Amino acid sequence: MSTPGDLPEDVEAFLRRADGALAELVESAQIGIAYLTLECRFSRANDRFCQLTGFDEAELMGSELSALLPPEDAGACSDLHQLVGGSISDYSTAYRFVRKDRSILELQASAKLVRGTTQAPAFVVLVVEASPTP
Amino acid sequence: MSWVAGTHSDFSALLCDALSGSPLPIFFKRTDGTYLYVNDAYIAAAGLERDHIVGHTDYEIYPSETSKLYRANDALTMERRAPLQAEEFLQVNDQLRWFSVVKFPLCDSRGGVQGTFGLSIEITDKVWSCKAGPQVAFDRNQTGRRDEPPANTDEESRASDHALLDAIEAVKEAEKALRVAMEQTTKSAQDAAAQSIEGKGLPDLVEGDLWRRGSEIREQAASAIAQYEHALMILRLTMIRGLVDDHGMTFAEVGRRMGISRQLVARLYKS
Repeated sequence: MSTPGDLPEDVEAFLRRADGALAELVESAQIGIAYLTLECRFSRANDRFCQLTGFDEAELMGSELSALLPPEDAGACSDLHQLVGGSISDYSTAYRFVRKDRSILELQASAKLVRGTTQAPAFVVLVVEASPTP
Repeated sequence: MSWVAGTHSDFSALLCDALSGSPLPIFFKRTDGTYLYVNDAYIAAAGLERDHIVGHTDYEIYPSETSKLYRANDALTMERRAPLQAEEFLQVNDQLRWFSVVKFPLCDSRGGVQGTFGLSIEITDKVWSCKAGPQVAFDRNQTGRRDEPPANTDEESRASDHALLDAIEAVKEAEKALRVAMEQTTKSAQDAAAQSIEGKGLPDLVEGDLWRRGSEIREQAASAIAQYEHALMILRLTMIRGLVDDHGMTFAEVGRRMGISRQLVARLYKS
């Protein structure tokens, strides 16, 4: 694709296409995907995540993950705090989410820390799916 | 040892000497993050005066991102009331230095947490040697610069081009991996729907292969997205560096070209 002689334009086009491909893959995924800042606040959520939780993306933006959990589950975020602190790089767990209609939905979640160019923690990718119901 | 038979103050004095003379950076902080004590090795590592550290919080001393990391690890140490080992970094005169830090909760006689105590070992060389591919060239180039950089030599430009090609390849590989992971999530959802139609209940799903695979697929998807995002970050940084170093563009010109602010370009360039 690119050669050292013609880098800038080709790379810009490649970068735009790659950005678009990632956005499309995340949006169209049949699994819930959300991004969290290092303050554990939502910065992005795909359609499936919104469908599962009942909130639209705008309502989730800026909210803390802990705000969507029942008060008695506040301790469930300790793994996430370790993750953003860089002590662990991923984890899997189950969260009980309070949906917008106040019903409780158990979600199986896997989280992965995304590191920046200096390897410092940058943000968190959270992938979720509903637990099977009896 | 003489302090065994001596007074509490003898021991305190000996301890102070030991901490002060330690080649490892050592600190004591209050619960709110205010530094109570740092030894000479800490001052040397931070490249700051003692007065600029003691009596101040991380947020008053270090950049926001660095402080958040320090404070998150402090909070975890105090919350768990147990030692915590973590990797932390520090930017000193544009040099990024990495430390393996062990933090301990400081408790009073009643068991109340009063702060943290930490000691560090520098692992910068180990971190660089562990990094793969284009990141090594980049991160090494990132150090030792202040603002607008000097023009690259031809040899540096060729190295920069190769780093760019490597970064592009990393993005391509990451995209492939993400597509595979996403196909698996689709197939998993279809399989789950099919089993549901067949009337298999919760025990079959939970104990079956499908459910176990579901967990693996979620983890794989999360890793693939993280890998893709990281590869894109490296590519953006590589591209910015190429435009600035090899093509002589200013941060403002690069910002206009990429549709981002000059400040963000400068921050990324110097990140």
